[in-house]
Amino acid sequence: MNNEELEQKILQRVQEKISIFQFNEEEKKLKKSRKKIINIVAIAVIAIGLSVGTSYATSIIYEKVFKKPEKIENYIESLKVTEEDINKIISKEEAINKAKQEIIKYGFEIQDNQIESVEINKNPNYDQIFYMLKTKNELTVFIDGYTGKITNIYDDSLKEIEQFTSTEEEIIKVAKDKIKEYGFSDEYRVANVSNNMDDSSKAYMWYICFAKQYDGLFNYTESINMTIIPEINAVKALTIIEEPFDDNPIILTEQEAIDIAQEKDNIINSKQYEQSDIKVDLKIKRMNPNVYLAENGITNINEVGELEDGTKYYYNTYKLNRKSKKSLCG
Amino acid sequence: MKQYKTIEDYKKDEELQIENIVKEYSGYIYTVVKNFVHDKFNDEDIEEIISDAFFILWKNQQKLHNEDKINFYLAGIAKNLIKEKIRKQKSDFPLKDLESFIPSNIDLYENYEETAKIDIIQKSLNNLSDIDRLIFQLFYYENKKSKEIAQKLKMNEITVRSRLHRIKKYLKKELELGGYSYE
Repeated sequence: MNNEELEQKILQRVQEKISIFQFNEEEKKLKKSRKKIINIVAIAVIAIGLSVGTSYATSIIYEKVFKKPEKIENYIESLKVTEEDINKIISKEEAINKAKQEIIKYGFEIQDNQIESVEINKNPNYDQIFYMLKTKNELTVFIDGYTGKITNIYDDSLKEIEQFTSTEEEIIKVAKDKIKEYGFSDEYRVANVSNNMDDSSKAYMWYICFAKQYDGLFNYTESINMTIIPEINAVKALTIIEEPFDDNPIILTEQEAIDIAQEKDNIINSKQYEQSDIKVDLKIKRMNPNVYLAENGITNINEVGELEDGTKYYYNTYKLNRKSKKSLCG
Repeated sequence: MKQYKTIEDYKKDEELQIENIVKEYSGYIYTVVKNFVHDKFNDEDIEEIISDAFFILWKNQQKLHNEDKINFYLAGIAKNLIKEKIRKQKSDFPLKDLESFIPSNIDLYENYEETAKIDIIQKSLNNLSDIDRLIFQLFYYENKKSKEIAQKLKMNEITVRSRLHRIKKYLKKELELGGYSYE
C-alpha cells in the first residue's frame, strides 16, 4: 500500500470516528435536556417550539392523531361575503339589537343615531363571520355573526391619556372589579399583566388578561382581555374569546411528548439554526397545521394578497383550529 | 533535521485542520507504530491505531498547547494506544519499551462506557448502506445541512431528513440492544 492509499484509508476512518463522536455528543446533549417524567396524565397534542423564519409561528402544535389540514383554495375569494354567508348568520338588525343590549353591561352605549356603519367581515382561517359596527363617537364593536355576541370593543374616543399612570397592583384591582361588574364568574383568573412602556411607572395603557383555568393551566381561548387607562379606569379595548375547549384526558407522558417533538423536529429541521434543547411544559393551546405541512414539504403557508388600494399583506392559506387542547409544549 | 510543525501551524479560526494533519503525518505515524509492533499487529490493527491517534488528537484539540509539536502528541498517543491494545490481547509483548512520556493533558478515553458505545455505533454503521453512511458522515463530520446534502447527492431534501432520522433511530436501537442508551 503506497502513502497516498494509506492517507485515504486513514482519513476515511478518522472522518467516520469524528462523525460518530458528533452523533454521540448530540445525543448526550439531548439526554441532558430531558426532564424526568413527571406524574401527570398525558396529552393528545404536542407543541414544538422552533425559532424558524417567517413560515412558522414560534409555537408549532402537532396533533398525534395525524390530521391533514384543510387548505383554503382561494383565499381572496373566500373573504367575499356571499349570499350563503348571509343566510348562515343572524340579520344585521338582530345583531345591532343584541349588541345594544349587551354593550350596556360593559359600560358603553350604542344609540341608533350614532351608528355610522355596519359591515360584514369574514375570517376564513377560523370560519368566522362577524359584523363590524362603527359609531360616530369612535366606538368599534365586533359582533359574532352566528351568536350575536360581542367579541371586541374598541374605544378610540379616549385622547390625551399619556398623563395617567398607576401601579400594577392597583390596575389588577380595577380589572378584577370590572370583571365582576361585567358579570363574569370567578372562574376567570388573572393570567397575564403587561403595559405599553418599558418603565411601568410611566405606562398609560395596561393590558390584563383573565382566563379560565383547568388543572392549573390557563386556557387563552376562554379569556377576557382588557386595555385599561389608569386613574380614569376607562376600558379602551375589550376582547372576549369564548372558544370551545376540549378538556381532553392526557394520554402521553412528558417523555413521549419530547420523543415525538424531537422526531418531528429532526424531520423538519433544516439545520439553519441550532436545535434547541427540548423541554416541555403543560399548557392549553390551539392546534395548528404547521408541523404536518412541513413534514409534507409544504414550507410556505402564506400567500400575498393585495387590497384595493394596493397594500400587500400576507395571509395563512390553511384553516386553523379554533379548538384548544391540553398540550405539552416545548 | 526535519522541522516538525506545531499545533498552531494547523489551526485555522481556532479549529484544528485534521485533514491536513492526517495527510502529512499518516506516513510518519505508520512508521512509529510499525517500529514498535513489527509483525505482531496486522494491517487492520495498525490502521485502527493510527486513525484512533488522529481522532484523539482532534477530540482533545482544546487541551493542546499551541507551541508543541504535532509529532510529539501523535507519537505519544499512538504508543499509548498500542499499550492498551496489547493489554487487551494479553500478549507477552515487552511493555516497558512503550513506557514513554504521554502528555498528561490528553485523555485517551474518558471512560470505558463511552468507548463501548462508540464501538457499537461503529459496528452498526457498517451495516448501513453506502448512501446512509455517506449521509451520516456529511451531516456529522462535514456539518452539512440537509439541503446541502440533498443537493450534493441529488436527492429530495425531505428524503435526506427522513433517512437521517431513520439512521439515528437505528443507531439508538442498536445501543439499547448493547445495553446502552441516551435515556
